[in-house]
Amino acid sequence: MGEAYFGYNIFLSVILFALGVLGVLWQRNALSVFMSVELMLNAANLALITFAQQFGDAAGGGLVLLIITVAAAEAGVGLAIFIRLYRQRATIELDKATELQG
Amino acid sequence: MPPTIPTIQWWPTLPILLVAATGVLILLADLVVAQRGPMFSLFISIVGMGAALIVVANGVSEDAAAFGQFVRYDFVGRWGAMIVLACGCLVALISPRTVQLYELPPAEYYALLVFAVFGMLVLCISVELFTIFLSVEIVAVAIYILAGLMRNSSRSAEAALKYFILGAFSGGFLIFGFVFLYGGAGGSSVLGEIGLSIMQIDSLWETGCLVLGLALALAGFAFKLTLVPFHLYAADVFEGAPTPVATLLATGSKVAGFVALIHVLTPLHQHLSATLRAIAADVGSLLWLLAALSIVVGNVVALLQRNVKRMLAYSSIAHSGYLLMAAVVFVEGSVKLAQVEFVILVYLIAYVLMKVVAFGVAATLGARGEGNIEDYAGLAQQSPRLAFLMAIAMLSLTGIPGTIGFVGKFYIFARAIEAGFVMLVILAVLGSVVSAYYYLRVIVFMYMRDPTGEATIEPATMIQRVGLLLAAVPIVVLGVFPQMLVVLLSNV
Repeated sequence: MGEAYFGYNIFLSVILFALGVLGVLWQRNALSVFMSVELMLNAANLALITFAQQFGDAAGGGLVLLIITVAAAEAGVGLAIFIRLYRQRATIELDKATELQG
Repeated sequence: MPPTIPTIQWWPTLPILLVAATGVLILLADLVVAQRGPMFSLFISIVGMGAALIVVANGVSEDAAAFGQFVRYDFVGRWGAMIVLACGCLVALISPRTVQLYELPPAEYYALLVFAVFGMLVLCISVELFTIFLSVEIVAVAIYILAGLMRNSSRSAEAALKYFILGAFSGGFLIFGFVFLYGGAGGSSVLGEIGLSIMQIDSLWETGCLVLGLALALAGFAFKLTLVPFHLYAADVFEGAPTPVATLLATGSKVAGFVALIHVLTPLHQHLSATLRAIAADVGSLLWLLAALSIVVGNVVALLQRNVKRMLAYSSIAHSGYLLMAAVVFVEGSVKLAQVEFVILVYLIAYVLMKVVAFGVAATLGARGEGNIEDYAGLAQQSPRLAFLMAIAMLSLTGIPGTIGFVGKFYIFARAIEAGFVMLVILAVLGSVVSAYYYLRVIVFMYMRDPTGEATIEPATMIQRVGLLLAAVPIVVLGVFPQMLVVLLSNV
């Protein structure tokens, strides 16, 4: 990848991020929502590595690993929460999570 | 040239290591000496966080840096770190009743609490974008688990789900925003360097990256600080999570988040170039809007709440609004840095103390304290001491003179007027007047209604009492002698 792809990559990452946000807002299944969040994080990864390459900043690659680790930790905790909720209510549709309502 | 090995600054590193080691130690000790009971984990966590607090107060000088300048104890960061550590100790002290009542696993509970405080500590002192993001996520992941720790309660699971979904979503905004700040600043992520490189910005492309990054990062922060319109999860999470966890979420995580926000906004405060001035003006009006909305919506919706924890959730949204007024003044830039930071710290101290007492009494009362406001009827007859503490917290949250809540509000409103935000102050004062209704309603129920039913109240344990008193006494003392705060914040 050279200079030529810089703009395209940033553009692509913005598109991916927007898709992730739309996914979170439109999807009702907790798993799909979480996958959309992962898409947002990976859009950030793509933008970060593109910037790092553009500026010749070697640390950028390391920081991408950091974000991947955070995403993995979140996935571990999040899936555990989904499983618990599923055991108690047999659904992980966000619309059905309405027990807490004033 | 051979690479130089950086020397390790031990003292600034020590508090961070201490808190992390405490969390690990609690888990290990639970494996080795499981029969010691829940008080053992509590004891370790208090000692660890207390030791870290002492080290920050006495061993770390102002502007000490560590981890290759990624971490810096500047004025607001160092005090934020101390407030967060003290807050962690207080929350641990008010926890035993809840841990016992809902059969939370003690070692996991206290270890996660300490890990959350670890994240908050690092968040307060980090001055590099990706360190900030990482510590935000450390806090968030620990609190996702803590919120869902009541294994038999499906409400607790729902609170964890809602906090997880919105926390992860806002984390995405935060990191995407940070990446564009990094890109716009030409590949530097340390905040001080970003400020310098922004000065040389001339191209539209870089400005665009910066503005996009700042806007997304602000949205992420607004989620974390429960500002309207990003507040929708707060009441549900506060209601479903164990009460001490709600306390930590309301106090520590807000303190750390706010300190981090101030760090990110610092380049804007300095007004170094025309571009920066223009960006600062826009960010200022955005923050103005968020503050006004939070004050109005928080106070009005709090009026409608019957559940005490939900009422306190909306009250903390309103208080985020008051606090954000200080950020508006900060970005506007006419008031000196040290003065704004002083005002912010006073408010944070006040806010932590009164929220810990209010939530602490609710936690001590168990199921009755966490239910509806009607359940507080006649509390003054049944448990005069707890009722009195709750009354102090409510008066302070209202902002009655003689309490620290008044001092905090007074300083912020005074600075805001000085900087010319009269309209915002009028809104905030009206909000405070409205808030008197729902805070004083609790006092009316406690003191002027007869108890319904014959619920017996288990007396507070020694540890709960210590925690509540440690938070309640300064509310009155510092409220009556506010000059002690000035001395405290300028000398230590």
